[in-house]
Amino acid sequence: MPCCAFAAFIISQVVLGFGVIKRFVLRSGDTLDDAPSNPATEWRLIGAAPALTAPQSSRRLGLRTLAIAASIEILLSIGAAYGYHLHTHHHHHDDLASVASVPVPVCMR
Amino acid sequence: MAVIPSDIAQAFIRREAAVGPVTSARHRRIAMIYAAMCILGLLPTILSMSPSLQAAGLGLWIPGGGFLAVGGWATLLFVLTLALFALAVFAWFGAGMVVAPVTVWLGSALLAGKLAGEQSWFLAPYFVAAIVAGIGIYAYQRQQARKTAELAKLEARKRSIGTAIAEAIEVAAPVPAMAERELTPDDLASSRYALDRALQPVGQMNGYDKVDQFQTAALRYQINHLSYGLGMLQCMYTPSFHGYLSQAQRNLIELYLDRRIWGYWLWESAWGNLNLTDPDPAAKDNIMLTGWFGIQLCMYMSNTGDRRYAEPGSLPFRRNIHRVFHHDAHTIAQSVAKNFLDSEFCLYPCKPNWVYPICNHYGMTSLKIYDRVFGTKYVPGVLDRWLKNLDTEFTDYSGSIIGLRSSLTGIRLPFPAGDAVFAVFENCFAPDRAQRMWATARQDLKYIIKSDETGAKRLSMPGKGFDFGNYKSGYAGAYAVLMDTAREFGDYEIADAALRALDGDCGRADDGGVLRYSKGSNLSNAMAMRARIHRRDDFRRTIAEGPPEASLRGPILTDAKYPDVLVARAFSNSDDLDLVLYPGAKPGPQQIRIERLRPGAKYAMRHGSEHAFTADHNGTASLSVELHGRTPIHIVPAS
Repeated sequence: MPCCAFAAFIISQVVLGFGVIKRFVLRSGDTLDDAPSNPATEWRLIGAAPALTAPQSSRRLGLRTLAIAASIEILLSIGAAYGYHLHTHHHHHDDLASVASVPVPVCMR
Repeated sequence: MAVIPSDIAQAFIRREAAVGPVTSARHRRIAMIYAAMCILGLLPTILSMSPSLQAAGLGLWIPGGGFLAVGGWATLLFVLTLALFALAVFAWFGAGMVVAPVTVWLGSALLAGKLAGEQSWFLAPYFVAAIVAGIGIYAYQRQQARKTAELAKLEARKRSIGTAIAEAIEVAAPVPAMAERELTPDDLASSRYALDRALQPVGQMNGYDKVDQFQTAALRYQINHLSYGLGMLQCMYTPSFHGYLSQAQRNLIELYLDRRIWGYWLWESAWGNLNLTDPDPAAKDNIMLTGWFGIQLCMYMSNTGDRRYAEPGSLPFRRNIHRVFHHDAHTIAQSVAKNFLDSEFCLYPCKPNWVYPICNHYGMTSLKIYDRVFGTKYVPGVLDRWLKNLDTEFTDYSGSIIGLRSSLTGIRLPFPAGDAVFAVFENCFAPDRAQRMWATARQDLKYIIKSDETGAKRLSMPGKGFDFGNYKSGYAGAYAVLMDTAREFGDYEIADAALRALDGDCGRADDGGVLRYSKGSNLSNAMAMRARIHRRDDFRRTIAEGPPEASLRGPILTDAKYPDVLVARAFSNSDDLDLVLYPGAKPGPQQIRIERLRPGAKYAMRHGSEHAFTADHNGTASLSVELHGRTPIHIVPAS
């Protein structure tokens, strides 16, 4: 299970990374004719009120996506770290078991 | 500047140019480090050490290689680690995150060691060695194929370069006289795109693309290019108009100091240069800030004579309430010069350890204008070595400048660069080389000039294009750059072909008196604005010559309401002021203010009829003018 947590962590990094590349760099699916108008260019200093809404809404959407992605990342990182901790702890006990026949000094307080 | 073919007698490109001595030394160093990693990695296997050490050792051969030694399900992690390593390399390239690939590589080796069981998979060393050999052979073959193609291109270029240069010079239009300089209504509408953005309150960034602050869509480049357009406009068309045009440039300079613009360096300095304590944006590296911003600053000071940004500490880069990096035009230029001198490549990195020749061209251009404005000699002191290193370390076998090279490893990544882009900058400090470069680029452009349905020539590029200003498809930026360069070298046929493509393909929109390209990024629109007003040698003259001396002394238009009064021309011949104004909103009377008149002197304003007025004791006068379409106004001392 802990190893699965680690694998999930790596997979999530890869999937999220490719998602970002696909979205921001490759822009697959876009064609020149279909290229959407860039809302940023619609803004004008004088008389620009209607054009202001588009870029703000897309930015809000971007922030929301970022917040969700960051939350997933944090959860996965915590899961992977916890899993790794369990894994090493598990090996530690294996080692102790293998030397169980040897007297182990115990410190009592 | 007149250049004749015989002047460009320099050797074209030497064959050994593609791998210079510094690059070779970096290649040797990285090869030795890798060889040491391989030897170290193989020792545990040869010496039959513990499975953990064997797995960790194989992990030094290739990222994730140790997972093959672990065997079982962990083999899957090898593929995943390779993918993660590719992402780490992307982060290294994109944001200077040097620690990312190192962490993934060494981290995966350590993890493989930890995950190893009682024994390692006995075939793992053979698999790892085979994979490494396969990758090495593939990379070598690709490199050889690229070299062969570049050498073939070089031979073709050698055969045609003489004719190409002669042809480029023959078709070039003459440098326009100042008396002819006047913005057209389309030029004015295009300039309003930049003015709208620059004149909003400092700190607001409406009308900008906000994507990322590390790569080409970063806000800093948008600000730089808006300012270059306005600066060139002022120098070439309206040197005697300050008012809102100077205010717009000051706003852009002050916006640049906002931490949102330059804060990327706090991150890059930490994860690229491992500098957590002193991430000064104008110290080590970061020519993408100092070089680009330096041009912006000096253009403003050169055009206006205003030296406020030369005052010590006049450019505070405020990290937080406790920490401010105090800079000024001098420290910005000194940073560029010092880095050139300190770097073994002479050219130096933008983001940690990635040297982009294009940003170094901006850097050299910034020193050129700084030298002129402040009387220093940075460019003569460094240019020879800089050009030699450009030719030997940053030029491919075909004679073209490469996109970027890692200063740590010497490797070169495929990053789009074109001779046309570099030529504009070299025209400022090495015009002969620039002419050769433009002639070469021009030959390549012939293949994309087509006729449209009306028979007029236009550029036509294949595919969907890529806009570096927002990472979407589109050719607005590419057409704008080519138009800009063609205009700089006086090739108006190619420039007009690019303009037709821009207007036809990129969503030209004229509304509210503003001309824009709706399918382009803000960066592309800023470049298109400059390209539209560009004429032969304008950029070189803005950098290397500046505005006419008389315009720096004579009367200036200092106040006119934006966008009600649009200024298409403003020149002074020392005592007079020659203006061409347009109404921006509706025809009618407008107030303007003139300064630097002779105090108490009588003047005549020729504006259809002639009106007399007297300058006040400060040498200023406020005048009412009727604006109806194109309105020429000439203010002269009364005889």
